[in-house]
Amino acid sequence: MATIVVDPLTRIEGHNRWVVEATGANLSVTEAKSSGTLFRGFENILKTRDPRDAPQITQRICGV
Amino acid sequence: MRITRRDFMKYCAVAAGALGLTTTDLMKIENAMATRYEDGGTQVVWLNGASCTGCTVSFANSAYLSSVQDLLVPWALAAPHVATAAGLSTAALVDAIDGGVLTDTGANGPLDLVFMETLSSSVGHRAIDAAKSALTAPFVLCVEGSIQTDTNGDFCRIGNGLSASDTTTISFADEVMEFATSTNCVAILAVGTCASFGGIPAAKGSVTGARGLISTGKISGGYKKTDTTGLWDLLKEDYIGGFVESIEVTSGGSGYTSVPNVTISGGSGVTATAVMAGDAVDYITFTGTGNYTAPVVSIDAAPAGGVNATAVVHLGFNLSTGISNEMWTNLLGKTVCISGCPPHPDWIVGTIVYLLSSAPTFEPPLTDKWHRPFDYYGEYQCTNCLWRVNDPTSSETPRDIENNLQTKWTKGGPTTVGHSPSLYFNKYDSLFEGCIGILGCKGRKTKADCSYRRWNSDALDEGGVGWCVQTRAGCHGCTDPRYPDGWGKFFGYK
Repeated sequence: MATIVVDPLTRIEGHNRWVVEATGANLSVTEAKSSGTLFRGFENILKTRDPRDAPQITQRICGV
Repeated sequence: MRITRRDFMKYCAVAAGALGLTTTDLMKIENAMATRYEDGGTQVVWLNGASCTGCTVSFANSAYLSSVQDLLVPWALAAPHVATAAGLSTAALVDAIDGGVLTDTGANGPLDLVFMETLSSSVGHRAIDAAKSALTAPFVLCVEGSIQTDTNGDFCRIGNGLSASDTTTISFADEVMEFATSTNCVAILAVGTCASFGGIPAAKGSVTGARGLISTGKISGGYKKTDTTGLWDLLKEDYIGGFVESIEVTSGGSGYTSVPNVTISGGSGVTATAVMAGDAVDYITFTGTGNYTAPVVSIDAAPAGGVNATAVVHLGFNLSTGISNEMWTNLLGKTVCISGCPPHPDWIVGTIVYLLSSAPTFEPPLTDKWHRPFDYYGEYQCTNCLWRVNDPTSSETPRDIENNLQTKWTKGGPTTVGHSPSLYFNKYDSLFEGCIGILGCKGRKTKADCSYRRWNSDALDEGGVGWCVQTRAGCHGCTDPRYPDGWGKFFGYK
């Protein structure tokens, strides 16, 4: 049984994590997980604002 | 020469392809790239938290003051290291990577960018290894993105493993603490409004407890003046003592005939054991982390005729432990805020260059009460605004107005305050000419030099081609601690 973790993923915007588990004599992959490890909650931030502000706030999800 | 993200990725791909590298070779190159270059350059560790990476992109697009490539370790130096690690001839590698033409053949790049998630060629635990290797020598810490403190920082977790099978993670808050409180951290640059003052992730409605290092504009629930606690101020409030990071034997002593007891005063939670080498203490191991304030290590005295061993405790701090008053003073003294959403590349590069120019003391530039360098954040946007229509009843000539805006910066602050001009927007009701305060421009409340420097510069000796106000869209006040909620909606003035 082997576990391979790639965390942090680099050369991306934001935070991501990969976990792969391989079992058996052939080490065949039994689990492959990808996780986004950052939550900011833009939907919550947008509530009750003037709608014309929405693009300005939402564009800050990604700066690339 | 400028390096874009695409160029950087192309370097890696072309290098691998042209050389017919196997996966093993590529991993060796990766390891070499992750290695800190001992031949000079000030170490920089750039951490990303609740960020959009816009500040990194702005920095990477720097054109006027310096290209990013000029600041980083040049390929001329990197290539031989990389070739050796991969067992390749230098000539072949250099030819393949740069078409045989290397421009950076001069001295070392001034910056040794030990770790930056967005540009790092290594991933996973190797990238974290590289970051931690910086802790052993002086380094500048750059923080991008706000720090989320609710649920013990679990809204942003980053890998912290020692190997490819180690699933350990650390919260971004604790990661910032680990680097910022290190004795080798010579300066902390809060890059962007998020890291400085909370920014958009900390805006009204946010549920993650996002904060800036110095201040937080608004927190979930609405704007209260008492809610403007930055991370450093917050951590000072509930200090319960640092955890034991390491115990350093300062003198092994001599003449011991049995293993002496080791006790630590000033807290509890750690059991320490001395390990001997002959009749002297070699090192001390410990279990637990505990909480200690001003810990003192006591080692049993040596028998008559021997020399007593001594040791000191090195404390670490995280979100749970808080920070002592001394640590708070230390952190505030070395934190510089380069706010903006994103900040102009010149502001970031200029501040870094200023710090480097005073190495190894790394004096921060003169800053205002929000820790922003006066050089870039000294004047309100109105001072050089192209839409400004001067009051026709005033006897001030344009030259008078310019002269009045000259400021002299001293350690206590400006001695001559520039205009914080009362806007004329209530005297002009046209949307098409004159001041655009009526359209929602927050320039009268925002300090930054956008009106002079402008944005999107293409060449070395020209300013930028434009800025937000030039489009008559208005300034949103992105450099201010109160961004984005400070003055209501962006496109109106009420």
